[in-house]
Amino acid sequence: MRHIVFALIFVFGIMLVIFAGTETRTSAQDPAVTPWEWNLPPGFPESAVPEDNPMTVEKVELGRYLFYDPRLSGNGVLSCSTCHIQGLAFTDGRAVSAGSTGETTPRNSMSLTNVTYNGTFTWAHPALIRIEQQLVIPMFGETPIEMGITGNEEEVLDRLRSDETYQELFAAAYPDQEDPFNFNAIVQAISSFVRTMISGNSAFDRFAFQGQRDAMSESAILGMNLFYSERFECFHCHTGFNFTISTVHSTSAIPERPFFNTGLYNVDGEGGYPAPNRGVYEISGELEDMGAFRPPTLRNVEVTGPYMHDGSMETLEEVVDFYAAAGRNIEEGEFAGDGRENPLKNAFVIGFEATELEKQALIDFLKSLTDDDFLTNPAFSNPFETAEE
Amino acid sequence: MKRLFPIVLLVLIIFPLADVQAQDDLIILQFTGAVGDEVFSCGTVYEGLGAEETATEFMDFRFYVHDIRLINAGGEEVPVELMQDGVWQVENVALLDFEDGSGRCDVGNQAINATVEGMVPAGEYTGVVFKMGVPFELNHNDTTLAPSPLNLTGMWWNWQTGYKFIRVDMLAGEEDPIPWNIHLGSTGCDSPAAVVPPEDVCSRLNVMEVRLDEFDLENDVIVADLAGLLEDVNLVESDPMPPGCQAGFDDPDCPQLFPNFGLDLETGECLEGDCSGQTLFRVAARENVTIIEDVDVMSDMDMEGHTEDHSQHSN
Repeated sequence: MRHIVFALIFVFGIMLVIFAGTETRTSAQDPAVTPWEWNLPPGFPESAVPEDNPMTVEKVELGRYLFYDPRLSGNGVLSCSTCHIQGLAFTDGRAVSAGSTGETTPRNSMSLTNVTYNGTFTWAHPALIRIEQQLVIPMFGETPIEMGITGNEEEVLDRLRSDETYQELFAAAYPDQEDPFNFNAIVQAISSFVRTMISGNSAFDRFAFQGQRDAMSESAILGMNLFYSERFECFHCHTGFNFTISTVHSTSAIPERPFFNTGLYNVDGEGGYPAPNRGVYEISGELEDMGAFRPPTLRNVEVTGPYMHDGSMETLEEVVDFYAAAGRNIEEGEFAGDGRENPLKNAFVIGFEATELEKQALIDFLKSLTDDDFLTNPAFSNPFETAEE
Repeated sequence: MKRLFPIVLLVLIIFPLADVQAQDDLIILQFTGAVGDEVFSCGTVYEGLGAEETATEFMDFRFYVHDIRLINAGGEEVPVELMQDGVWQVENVALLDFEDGSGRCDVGNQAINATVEGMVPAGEYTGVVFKMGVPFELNHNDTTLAPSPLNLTGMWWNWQTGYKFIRVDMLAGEEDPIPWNIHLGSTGCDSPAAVVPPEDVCSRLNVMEVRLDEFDLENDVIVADLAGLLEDVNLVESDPMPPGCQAGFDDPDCPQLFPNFGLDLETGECLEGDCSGQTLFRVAARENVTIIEDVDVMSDMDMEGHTEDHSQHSN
């Protein structure tokens, strides 16, 4: 009896080997798509790409066209790039964004800088952990309408289907699909494109990761040391290579995806934020999540203003003064309330006294995170404009 | 003969394994987090802590241990070789994590780890020795490139200072509670800037060694007791820069706390050579305490099941 069991185990083992072998051969023999090569900046880890949407050169190229194409919106006037402009690190320079029908979103357009490392997506949603999940919201959402595809699905697909460039791009990206003109393919391609938006060649990077000790000014270095000090406390939330604790990559076994209340509001004296911008509370309904938002990356922050989830601060100077004051006291108007006294405020927003010189140094440091290569990289630019030139 | 081949093959594979098992034992060091006689949890307010008997809620409770040794009957210290599990243990370092991300533990995550697993030569052991913290060789690497659990940015300051060996964040006081945080790590680490690792060992390592002479692996548990750690610490006041003790040699909140780690604030070494004055760790019989159970890391696949609501916008 024991012999039979052993023999069975052995046969099963061999079958496994053969099966695994076949598997490997099939995928390796598919010459139609080209695996993406990352060429990461020094100091950057590999990102965690979902297994069901592997990165390919062809999907990235298709995604770039789709990202810049207003034909993807229901009424043909708005593209992803309307609210995510490369020169502004893929933000839009507005306090809050407007959709294709003019309706505004309640929130500030988020930078796509290093979005492949995001712990979560949007300003405050613990369950959105993949770009693919986030993307369907601006595409199909109706409250508010952004891209406005809902109700116009076939029309949008027909526009793409009838375009010769897209016929080639879709066929190249999805050689196995008989009809690749579907929204799953579109979402996967755009996700692949934005995952390539990696920024890692700022003055800070050259100083920290490339050994160029003259890359940052003395003031910026002073500001950096203040940033990492127990006086200013900035680094607790904006930490690591991506300047946010909400960062996940390929070896993150214990994912960190926190949200924080920074004392921007306190409309009811109990920590309340104005609806519909109450942070994770909007999703969870738990009072402790009131005003809790994801700390965004600070890379390229020089060009991503206005700041905060609702764009309620114009300048970096205003932001630094806000943290120095340990919150925002709004004296009058519908949002009146002392955010400094917000009981749900994170314990590290305790304020600091600083000289003007030190505040300027901190801002100089934040500006040393600007990556001009990223803001002008042709690989992230509008392919339609390139084609016309 | 041919039919015998698979059996011979299996025997060849199994025998060396069996051989190792005969010499080494897999041991599990059970820890738990407590606040006095109560089990630790996020979202609970504990009464009567510190010198002024302050009601306190905890917002984080995690620490690293390394260089774990068991003491055998002859009094010798035998190193424990940690299992490399890709999550909680790497090289000779392990992370103990008692917070579950609930309540005000907003920096944390759902996963909990109260155990350390490793191999030791088979034998009788009567005690355990370990260090709290991260060894200097691993302490100043880039946290984002380091293997888990050394890639948790919440447990890290920067390249120059390295990791927070222990992180205990608190809200102390009933009305208008104040933040009171304990972050212990090395100080006096000399490098040109915060983002540059030091070449020489930091002048104050602040690594405490914990020696528990009477410890029964099967029946005892190592209790990390925050009420003990806060003994005689004034939680009513905190010098606001920073709130609580962040290990700075001139941090006014540190002198009262450091003896409870058994550490000398000025030198970063054990007081009286052995840190035996520490009040954080003690041994208890498993049957006498509530043991915090491990909770596995929630996989991303599990997370996706929670995307149910549709009242949302893209940003």
